[in-house]
This record gives sequence, C-alpha cells and structure tokens, in this order.
Amino acid sequence: MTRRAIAIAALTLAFVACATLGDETAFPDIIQTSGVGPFRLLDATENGGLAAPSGRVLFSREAVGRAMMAEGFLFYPRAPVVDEPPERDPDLPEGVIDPAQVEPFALFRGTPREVDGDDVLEGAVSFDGGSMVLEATEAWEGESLTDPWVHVGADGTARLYYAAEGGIGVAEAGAADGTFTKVAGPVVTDARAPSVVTFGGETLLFFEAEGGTLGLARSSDGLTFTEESRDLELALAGETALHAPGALVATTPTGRTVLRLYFEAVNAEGVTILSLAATEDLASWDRLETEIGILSTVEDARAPSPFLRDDGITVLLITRQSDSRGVELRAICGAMAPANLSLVPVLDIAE
Amino acid sequence: MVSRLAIAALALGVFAAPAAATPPDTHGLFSRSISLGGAVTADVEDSSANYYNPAGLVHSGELRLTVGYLNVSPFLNINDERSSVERHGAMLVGLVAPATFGDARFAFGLALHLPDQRIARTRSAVVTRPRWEMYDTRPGRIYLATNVAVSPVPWLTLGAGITFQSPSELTLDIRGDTHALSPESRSRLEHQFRGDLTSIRYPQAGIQIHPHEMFSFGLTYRGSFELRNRIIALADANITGIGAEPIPLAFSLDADTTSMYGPQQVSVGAVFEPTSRLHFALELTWYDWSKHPSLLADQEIVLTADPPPGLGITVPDEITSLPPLPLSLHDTFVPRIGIEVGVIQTPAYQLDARVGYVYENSPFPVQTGTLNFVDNDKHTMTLGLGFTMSDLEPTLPGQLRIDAHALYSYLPEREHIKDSLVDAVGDYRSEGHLFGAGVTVEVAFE
Repeated sequence: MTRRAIAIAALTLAFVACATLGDETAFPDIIQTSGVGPFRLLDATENGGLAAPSGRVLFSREAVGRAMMAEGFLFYPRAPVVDEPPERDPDLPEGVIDPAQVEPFALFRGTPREVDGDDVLEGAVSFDGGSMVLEATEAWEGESLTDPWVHVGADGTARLYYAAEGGIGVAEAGAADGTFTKVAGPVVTDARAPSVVTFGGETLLFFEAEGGTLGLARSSDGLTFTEESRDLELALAGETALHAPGALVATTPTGRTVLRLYFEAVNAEGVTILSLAATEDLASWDRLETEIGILSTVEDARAPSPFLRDDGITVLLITRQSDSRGVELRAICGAMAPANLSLVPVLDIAE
Repeated sequence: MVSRLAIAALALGVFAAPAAATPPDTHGLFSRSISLGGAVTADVEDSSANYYNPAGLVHSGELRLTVGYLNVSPFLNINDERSSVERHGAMLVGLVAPATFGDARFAFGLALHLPDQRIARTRSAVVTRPRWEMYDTRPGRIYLATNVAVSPVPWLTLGAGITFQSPSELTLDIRGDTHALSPESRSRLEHQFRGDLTSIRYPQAGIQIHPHEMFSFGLTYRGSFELRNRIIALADANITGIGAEPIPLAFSLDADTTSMYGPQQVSVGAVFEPTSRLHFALELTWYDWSKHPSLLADQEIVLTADPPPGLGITVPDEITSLPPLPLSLHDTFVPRIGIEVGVIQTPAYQLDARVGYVYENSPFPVQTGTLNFVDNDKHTMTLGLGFTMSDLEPTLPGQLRIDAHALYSYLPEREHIKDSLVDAVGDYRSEGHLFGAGVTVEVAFE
C-alpha cells in the first residue's frame, strides 16, 4: 500500500509541476461615461491625416472660428485674411483673432471628406471647406456672423443659431443640408456663442454674456426665448470669466439624462482652460474643479463644442493656434474621449 | 496526549498572524464540496475539509490522496462590454492522513490550490478604472492549508490549522548619470533590485458534532488576513546634457498597499440524512467584510532637483497622491444549500447526484464616489456527480472516487450612479455570469 501511495503522490507532483503556465491579461479597461475625459487629440487616422496643428479636422488658409458638428456636417465661421494685414493689436488676449486682420466672417457648412479618398477612413472626422450658408445682411447683425450652432428638431427641421453684433439670430432650413433662411433675431441681445439643446421638453439656449459669464434662455418653440439668467454662477473661486459654452445632452448607461456644458474658464493670471459643468435639473450644477483630461497639456485649446456619437464617444471640437502669412489665426481641431477608443476601425495586426 | 495536541493546535491559531480571503472563498475547493454549494461544514470528511472544516479530517479514518482541477470562466460586463478578467484554473491536491493513539483518533490534512496561470498575482488598483475586485486578482494565488484533527469521542471531532499566504516587498535602486538628450547611448546608470516574498499565516478551526446517525452539525472559524505589498523605488542620478553642470536629481517612491484582504468568517451548518440515499445540508456563513482596509496605496513621493534657473524647469514642492480612501464594505451572511441523492448503491460501486445553491450578497457598496471596485450579488447553482468504486482489491485496497461538478453563477445587474455628474468615470452598469467545471479523483485507503 505504501508503494502505491508513493507512486500516486509522485504522479500528482509531476502533474502539479506542469500546471503553472501563465499568460498576461490587460489591466481593466478605461470606463468613462461622464464626458470629463481624459480627451486626446484625434490622431492622423482619425482626422484624415490633415497637417498641424495636431488634431486638425479642417484645412483652411483663411480665418476660422468656433465650429460645431450636426448631421455629419461642420458648421463654422470663415473669413479671408485681408490683403495687407496690419500689425496685430498687442492688447488682444491670446487666442483671439484680430478683426482688423481679416474680412468679415460668414457661416460655412463643411462637408465630410470622401472616405477612401486622401486616406480618410470610415468614422474619421475630417472636412472639406464646403460652401457658405449664411452671411450678415441685417442691420442688427453688423458685418460678421460667427459661432454657428445647428439644432435639428424631431421633424428634421434644422435651426441655425449664430452670433452677430446685436445678439443671437436664427435661420432655418428643412434639413441640415438645406438652404438656411433667417427667421428671427436677435432672440437674445448682448450675447454671443449660442449653444442650443432640447432638455426636459424645452429648447435651451446657452450663451456667453457681456463680461464673461454664461447665461441661459428658454423657449418652447425655438424662436422666442425668455432669458432666465445671464450668470449661471459656474465660475470657481479665482476664475474671472467663462466663455464659449458648448452644450450636450447625454443619457448615462444607468438611464440618467444629463446636460453637460463645456466652456472656457479664465483665471486671475489670464490662463484659459477648458472645463465642464453638468446638471440633471438646471437647478444645481456639478462643476469640474480641474481642466478636462489630457487637453490640459494643450494650452492653446479654446471654444469647446461637443458632439456625442452613438457609440458613446464624445468628440470635442476645439480651436487651436494657427497662422497664415504671419497672421495669428485659429485652426479647427478635434479631440475625443474615452481616449483609449478610436473613431476609426483599429487595424488588427494579426490580420 | 490528546490535551497536548489540542494545546498545540490552539497555539497555532493564537500565534498565527492575522488571517485571509482565499481562492476557495471565491470558487470553492474540490468537486464534491463545490457541487453541494459549499454546504459541507457539518459533515465534510475529504480533503476539502482542510478549507471547509478541519474537524472533518478525522471523521472517516481513511488515508485519502486527492487530485483535482477546476476552471471558472468569467463573462463579466460593464456597460455591456466584456471586462478584462481572465479565467481562473487551478490544480488541486489534497491529503488526509489518519492515525490513532490509544482510543483517540487523529488526522493530518493538507490542501494545495495551485493556479495554472501564475503562482501569484498582484495588480495595483487604478482608481479610475472599474475593477471586478473579487475576480480580478483575488483567486489568482496559491492557497496552502495544513490542519490537524482529533476525535476524542465518537460523536465529536475537532480540528485546527493554518493557511499560508505571501506578501511582498520590492525595492528598485537606480544610481548614476543619465543624458537628457541621448539617454540610451550616453547614460551611465546602474540599478539594484531586491524582492522579498515573505510569509504570513492565519488560523482556521472547526468542530463537527454527530449526535445521531440522521443529523450532524458543524462550526468553522477562519481567521482574517491582510496581504500588503510594498514597492520602494529610489533614484539618485545626475542629469547631463542640459547646461554646463550636471543637474542632481533624487526621487523616492514608497508605496505600501493592501493587495488582498480576507475577512474572518464563521460558518455554521447542519446535515439531515433521513435515509442512506438522501442528504440535505444547510449552512450560513458570516463574513466580517466591514474591517476591510483600503486597497489604495499609502504612498510617499519625494522629488528633489536643482535645475539651473534659465531652463524654465519647475520642480513641484510636493507630489501628492490620493489618500487611502475607505472601501466602506459591510458584513455579509451567505446561505448555502446542498442536496445529495444516492442514485445507485451496490457493494461494488455507488453513484451520487448533487445540487447546490449559494446566494452571496456583495459586501461592496454601489460605487457612487471616487472608488470603482465593482462587485455584484451572486446566485450560484451547482450540479455534480460522484462515482465511487469499492471492490478494487487486490489492485487497490480501498476506494476510488471520481467527482465532477459544474457551476453557474448569475450576477444580476447593478447600477453605479455617481454622486457627482462630473465624476472621473461616470455612471455604469455591471452584470455578468460565471461558468465553471471541475473534477476530483480521490484514492481512499482503508
């Protein structure tokens, strides 16, 4: 019996000795559903390989400004640089285009660059310049139209909100690719950078008010607005101004409907960062106390404009430092979160 | 003699280091016990008694050698996406060695759980990455338990022993010069690495009472344990290639982490056998999860450098890290049910069928704040078959037993709704399934 026991024990030990054959498993995946980042600039596969600055989604030698995406199109302001531009006004803050160096802005609709053309992959965010959709014609508008924001209703009707000298105006088209006709304006005065979403059954218009605060106006029809506040009091201690709100309505994986508002925040030293506040009810806001994600290393990022894809990826259009013929301009760029995902199919090396 | 052994067994428990949560806590040990849902404290007598109740080691009086294998494949999802949690497979080895001294019967037992992928696994917790805490690294380590048991009177058995686990301390020391512009070709660095895998022990003890042939009762205590991992990184180097003089740089990181904690636990079980073919078992286990320490590292980082002022390099005065936030776990009571039916019973062989059920309510709260340690309640259903061959002489003077089990665990969906709408992770849902199977072969010498 003892010999059999020893034999069985030896067999067992041999079995055990061969048992430990390890392989490696990745760390837990990044889960990120709150839209706070970390964001990363789009890479060359995701922006169609457009030239610097990194993340650029539209190539233009002209002046461009805050852009937004709707129904696959890029809506943005554009203006040519004047023939012989004067010296830049030294008092202008960094990131602001000197209006004396450019012609008046009009609004353009960029179209997606053709897939499989110029290395543009399916899912990439990359645009051609497209055509003009709106220019200043009304007296209250002054010379330039900027800060376009298209809001598409349930019936497919597209409303183009824009900023002009006298406030915020509205144009309308049967669809985002249709012909826009001005229908109202100014719907909010002394305001710029409109951002419009449907939330809680209402149309909400966030805007930047004079003095660097963020305001809110409400509407039941999208054309007539009632100002609720010209200062939502989203600034943290030490911040002197908030600019360029970009709103987004998202439903979390647990079913909560959340309104997220991205914006620029300027501190007492004049440093501008991108940050975020969010609310479920418009009565109380949670404010991110830091910059959003990795974009903190991109010091020239401005004018955040969010877009939520069906796959849960938040694409954040921003503007970055650029120049043409020595004139300090902006470039429309893109960032995305969660940063570990990709907008385009990832090539499987094994294939 | 009995009293001496009892004192010795008690001493093992008293002087052992604080004790642990183990692979058997998560997936069980050996097929028969797993297929009964782990409801075996009252009557276990095979090698799995080393975990479930060491008092059972002495019950049968047989020399038992056991070898087995189990595999559990997780299908755990967060927001409908499969989480990166690897399968768990392990070799199992067990021993029960009986002895008698006078009228008293004794037994020594040993159980080894050896993962088939790696001997031990530790991964630091990244706060912003939701992690299935119970399944990510916890089962992936060696479990070794040794026990002694005594039966002073026929209706009573007592057992106790210790289980071993290994914490670690790793030190990396780097010295020399590194070139800022050509670090690969022009650096002169040397390093030393030291790793200590020390050992801690924690106790377990149990009692079985057999007042009547139709009833038996059992009580088991398993101690708590805490595995700490300490990582020390030291760098004392000069940075060259920037300016005329080398820039002295000193960096130290001292991170002390609890990598695994096992709560103390008490199981109480009862078995009712109305006939020789029917076996009902009920059990309740208390887990003292509320004492679980933080899994976040208590770390100290010091960086000193003196770059020339013209380079525009700013050295932070202080590098802070997230403090070890409490996990806020709560104690749990886990009920277990096991039923065994003798399907075929002949003098030569026997076939038993088994079913079991376990409900484990998660000790982890819904993750509403900064932490993201994911866990869900778990319903586990088990099935098993046991085949025993008895008439094997002269080849084998005893019995050959083959047990197999299959298990399915359902982790119903849990919503983690964050207090802050600008949380670094945001809301998520967790749910999943576990599928497992295993087999045990045991030779019992009479």
